[in-house]
Order: sequence, then C-alpha cells, then structure tokens
Amino acid sequence: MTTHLDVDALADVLAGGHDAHLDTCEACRALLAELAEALPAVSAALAALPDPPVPPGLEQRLSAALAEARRPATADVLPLTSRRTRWLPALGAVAAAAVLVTGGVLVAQSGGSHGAKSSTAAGPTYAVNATGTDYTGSTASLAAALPGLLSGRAPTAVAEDRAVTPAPLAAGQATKSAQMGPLATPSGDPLAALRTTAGLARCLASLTDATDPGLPLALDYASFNGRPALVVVLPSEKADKVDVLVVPPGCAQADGQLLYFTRLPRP
Amino acid sequence: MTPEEQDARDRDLVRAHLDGDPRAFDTLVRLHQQRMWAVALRTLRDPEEAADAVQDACLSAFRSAASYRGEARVTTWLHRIVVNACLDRARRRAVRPTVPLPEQPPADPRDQLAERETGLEVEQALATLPDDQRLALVLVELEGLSVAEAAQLLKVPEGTVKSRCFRGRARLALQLGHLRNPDGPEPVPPVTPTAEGGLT
Repeated sequence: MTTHLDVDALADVLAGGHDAHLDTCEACRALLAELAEALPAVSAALAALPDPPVPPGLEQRLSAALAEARRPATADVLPLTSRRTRWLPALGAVAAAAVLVTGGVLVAQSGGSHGAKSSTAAGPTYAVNATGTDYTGSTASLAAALPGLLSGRAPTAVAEDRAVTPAPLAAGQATKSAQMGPLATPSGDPLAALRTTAGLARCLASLTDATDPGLPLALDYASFNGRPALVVVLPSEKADKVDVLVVPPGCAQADGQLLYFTRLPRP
Repeated sequence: MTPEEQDARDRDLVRAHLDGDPRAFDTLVRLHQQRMWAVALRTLRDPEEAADAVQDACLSAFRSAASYRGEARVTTWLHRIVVNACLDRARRRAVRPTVPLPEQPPADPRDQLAERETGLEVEQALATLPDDQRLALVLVELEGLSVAEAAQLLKVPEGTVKSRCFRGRARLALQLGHLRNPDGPEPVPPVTPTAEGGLT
C-alpha cells in the first residue's frame, strides 16, 4: 500500500524540496497543488491578526523595573559583554598602551630614569588614586569624586591598616606611589592582582575589548557598596564625557564583571 | 511614519539614553511595548511568562544599549532581545508537552466568518503549532522580519526558518479549513506532535 505524504512532507516540497512519491501519486500531487493555493490565504490571515492588547499595568511595571535598574546600588553585576563599547576610537593617540603601562612601571620603580620603552617621554599619563572610598554606587558620589580622581590628588577617605598601594603609573606622573612598585602589595589585599602590571593590563583590555587596551584617565583603588573595587575612568566616545566603570578584583582575570557604569561630563 | 522615520526616531532615543537622558529609554520602551508584548505572548502563550519576558528584555536592552551598533534597525535589535528573553524563559521552565491539536468539529461557515473577522480562530490555530514553527511564523509573517533576519536572530540556517514557516503555514491551512478536497485520496494524516517542535 502506498503511504501518502503528510502535511509536513507536502510543506517541505513547497519549501523547495522534492519527494519521489509525487512522481507516481496523482492524489498527492493534487493535494500539493491545493495546499500551494491555500498558503497565500494563510499568510494573509496571519498578517491581518490584530495585536493582542497590552495588559493594563505592563507599562507601569516596565518603568518601575527600569527605575529600579537605574538605582545604581541595584545595578549589581552587569555582564561585561554587554558593555563592550567603543572607547578605543577615542584613544587613537595611544599606539602601544600595554608597553606604556609596562614602561610606566619601570619609571615608577626607578625614579623616572628608566623610560626606555616609552617612545615619548611626555607620553600619556594617568592618575592613580587609592582613596579607599566606599562608593555607594550613586552617580553623584562618583561625579563628586571625579575631579580629584582625574588630578591624582583625591583625598584618602579612610585610613586603613594595610598600606594603600597605588598601581603603576605611566611615565612622568608625579606620585605618592613612586616608592612602591607593583610587587610591594601587602598580603591579604583583595585588589592586589589589580595592582600588578599584568593584572591591570588584563583588566583594561577586557574593559575596552581591544588587543591594545589604551590608557585610562584615572584609577581609584577603593570599594563599592562595601566590597573592594577598582574605579576606572576611561575616555568616552564623546570628547566632553568620561566613562566611569567600577570593577571587582576579578577584573585582573578579565572575569567580565562590571559593578557599575556611568557616563559623566568631563570636569 | 515610515519605518525609516521610526528607526531614525528610535536611534535618537538610544543615543539620548546613552548620553544620560533619563526619559529616553522609557520612551523607547513605551513606543515598542506593543510589539514586544505581541512577540512574547505569541511565543510563550502565557501572559504571566510573557510579561516577565518583556521585563527581562527591557532590562537587558537598557543594560546593553551601549553595545547596539546601529547595524540593524532598533526594532530588529529589540525583537532579538525579546525573543532571546522568551527562549531563556522557555528553556528554564519545565518542558511542557506540546499542546495537542484540538478536535475541532466542522464549524458553521457563518460562525467561522465571524471568528475570522476577529482573528480568534487564526490566533488559536497559531497557538497549537509546534513552538519552533510558531516562532518562525510570528517573526516572518506577523513581525515582518525577512527570513534572513529571522534566521540570524534564531541562530539557525535560513533553510530551517523557511522550512518551519512552510510547515507552519501548511498546518494552519489544514486547521483553518482552507484545504477541503472532497476528491482527495484520504484525509491528510493528522499531524503528530513531535519532540522536535520545542523551542531550542
């Protein structure tokens, strides 16, 4: 007994396939033709479907959820993959940033006389702070701190037992960290990995999603909602803005987490 | 407003949002919530789940707006996010058995006409399709995406989207009574719900 084609098989033929059964079965060919004729009406019926009414309250629910998401304290951990943005184009001047960071460490460790790897003596620099501030995650607290962070002279907010160890600096940056190299990190410092050249470079590369991570404008070894965190100030794609990112210690392993992000006017 | 004008407006809103305008994103959501809702409800078929998925999608779009590169239309970008939110929810929830095809008695032609006017019959028939066929039809027939856009969004080959659309249309033709060949060889075999029909 011949097995006729079912509706899926007929549909597959209409989608451009072939079934040998059709060569010998007049009935299935007729059915196929009928189906082919019917499909435009199906498409038309679908296209004519009215939109289901949006349930009352959905709009309020969505704006409440968005308002909640705007409250920085709840903007807990954003996947970094969603933040891989276009910082780098704004950093066109930095040709070999990884090298510069390395060069900066050498400079910092040897009192400024060893900047051989840095191609320009007055190359880009950035400010490293170690305020220990516990940022609450509000944009206001970061905005208030920003001018100090960019100048590298942000006041230290808390006196901690452990020595505050700023990260390596780029060439030419006068700094309180000059006497402390990246290796001089106290044990038990949760941000220790981010104070190493390699850890910092990995972190910056993951933030900028580029092989050439470029230099930040400023760093602050601090905390965020009570947890150790590094504040990274990066150039924004807009010249009059800066991007402020707060990352956890795992950034040294490029773990892809972002505790907070905000875009602020450049002071 | 042409689709191009809508997209220009949407892009302005995304830019304003990234520049810190606190109202811009809410406006974008308000303008698109009808589309997001329609896709989510038809994909998940459960109003509660659909509302959750739309909320997931809004938050996801809010957080990833900076990664919107402007290659696709904003509405296509939002569709992708909504569909992904729905698929995430569908994966997380316990696998539900495919809804069996209802045993529909031959409808009175006048009733059928009335139903067709409201789209209820079509909507109900659509809901009985296997998930993958329904989603393909929702994107291509109702949301106006091209087969290529739908394929990219669903991460399947274009041929797969095409096949799902044809199978879905054929089943609908059968269910909606567009196929009535009294001289046919035998009734078209009833479609058996298959495991392949699930959202992937």
